[in-house]
Amino acid sequence: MQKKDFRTLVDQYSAQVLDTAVRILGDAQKAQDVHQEVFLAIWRRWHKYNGQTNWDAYLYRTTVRKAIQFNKRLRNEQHLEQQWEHSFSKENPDEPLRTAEIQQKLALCLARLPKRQADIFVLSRIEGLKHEAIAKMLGCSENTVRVHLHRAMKQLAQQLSGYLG
Amino acid sequence: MSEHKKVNELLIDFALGELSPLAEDDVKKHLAECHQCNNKLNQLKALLECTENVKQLSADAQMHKSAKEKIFATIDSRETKEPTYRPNISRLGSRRVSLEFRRIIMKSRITKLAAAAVIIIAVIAAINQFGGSGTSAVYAAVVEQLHNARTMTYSIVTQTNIESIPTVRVEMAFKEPGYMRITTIDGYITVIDWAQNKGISIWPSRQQFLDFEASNYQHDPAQDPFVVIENLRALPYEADEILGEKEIDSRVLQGFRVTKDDMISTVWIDPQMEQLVRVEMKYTNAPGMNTIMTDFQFNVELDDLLFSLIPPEGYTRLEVQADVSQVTEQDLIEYLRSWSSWTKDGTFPPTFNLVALPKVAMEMEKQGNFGEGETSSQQRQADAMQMYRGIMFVAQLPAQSNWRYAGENVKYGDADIPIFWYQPDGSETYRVIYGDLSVKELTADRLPK
Repeated sequence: MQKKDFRTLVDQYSAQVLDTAVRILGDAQKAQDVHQEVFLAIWRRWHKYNGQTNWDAYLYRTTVRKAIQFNKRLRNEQHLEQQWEHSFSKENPDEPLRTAEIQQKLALCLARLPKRQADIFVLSRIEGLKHEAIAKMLGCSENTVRVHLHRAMKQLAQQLSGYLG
Repeated sequence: MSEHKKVNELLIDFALGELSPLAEDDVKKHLAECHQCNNKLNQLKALLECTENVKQLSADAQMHKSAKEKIFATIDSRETKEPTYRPNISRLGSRRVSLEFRRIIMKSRITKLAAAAVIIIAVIAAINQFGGSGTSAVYAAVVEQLHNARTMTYSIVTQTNIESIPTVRVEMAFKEPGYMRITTIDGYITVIDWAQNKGISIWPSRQQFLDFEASNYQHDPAQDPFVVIENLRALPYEADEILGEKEIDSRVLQGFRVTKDDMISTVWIDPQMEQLVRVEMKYTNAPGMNTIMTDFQFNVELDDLLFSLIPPEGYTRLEVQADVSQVTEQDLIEYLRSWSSWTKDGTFPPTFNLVALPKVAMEMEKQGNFGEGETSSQQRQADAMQMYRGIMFVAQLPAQSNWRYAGENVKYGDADIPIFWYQPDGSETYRVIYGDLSVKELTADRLPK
């Protein structure tokens, strides 16, 4: 496959990748960084793809993982821990948080979840995919999807309880 | 189970609207009287409401445009990174040779004859590590880490069950787009730049270096290896078997097994850190031999100087130019002839299996099967080159050539015994090499069974 094929892939899936990253990260700059990482990783291995790749599934999976890892990486650099603490200390506890703030807190919580729970939560509740599609995408059973989704929801609801509603 | 506990377990499904009407009524009844469950339900509903809001978000048109442009600008500025030709050595890798090979050979007379070639082969030894197809999130995360690595370093320890063969430890380093550096514990360094198809081996103790070139390999994207890092990157997202947990060096690791051809790879991962810790490889056709890879580091800064092909000042050259695009059947014949001259009984190599060969060579050496005597350095270089070219000829034969080696225990001069045959690309007949190293063309039905 040639460069023009790669350009076609970017043209076709750029919006999906960027929008998914925006929804997970709540930060345009970070989302663009993830977008770049996703496509350049594919570009580096472009000669390996044989035309059989299910790009829809592959890009969903990769984008979700990279976006979550993006936050995790920052957290590992301790920067995010401070951000976490800062982010979770409301100046005015009675003032409801804006969607963007809640979204960023959600992103931080997702980075703390076990990988599969986080992936499944995003694919199900943020990307709106059916259990069947997620199971197929991640190579597991629908029941596994259900179990991980439940665990993720339980964790996230607890962690965000002071800031939602 | 108490009613409270039962309802508690159903709350998520209730919030998601996934309960049957009957179960939903039970939950509603309990909620009417349970403050705790009501609180939990409210938390869940708030979370779902939050995600519904997030679901509506998307990047604006300007962001979309600039993100795309950024990608295109990046790839345009990295013309050279577009899928490049890399030496097709995966076939050789699939019949991988142990790093031990160099050591064994260095101790024998063959070693002296073949030192240069063997150094190159030792490099090739590191080429093929993984392959195969179970499932695990942790495992997949590590695979992804491998896929995204720009640089990678790790250690390889090769062991055999042969007492006299020392354990060898080698440090590996890789850097994109195609640099590889191998350092043995006793100071041998080999650097390969796959973009240039050039490499250098450096012997600090002898103040010598060997530079080598292998150009114009036949391009086969399906098998393009980019040596070890690409093979590591070729790890499937799903392992064949999940082994469970085991404590190694005070760390609780999760094990995964991947099997391909004759190689069984066991991958040990720290599940908390999603970190690749250890890889163990065993070979079904070389019992007792195993390779252990540890100390993995990804994306560490590696200075370009580590991958320089310029020899240290004052070192003298031992040159091998190996344009393997031009290796021919005659190179194989000459290699077979050379080997038969090294053995006391004039027999050909017992095997072309590069994993088994080191062990076999060692055993032959122990049994005194190789002749004694010194040769000139010039002759050693020539023989080393011949050995390398002969092995490369076979290594480059495609699988559809149906090549087969049957030279074990056959002596040079056994004119009636076919020792090697293959079907050249596009040919309807096979080329058959006999024990006297003559060659005939035969149809498939006349080949030895």
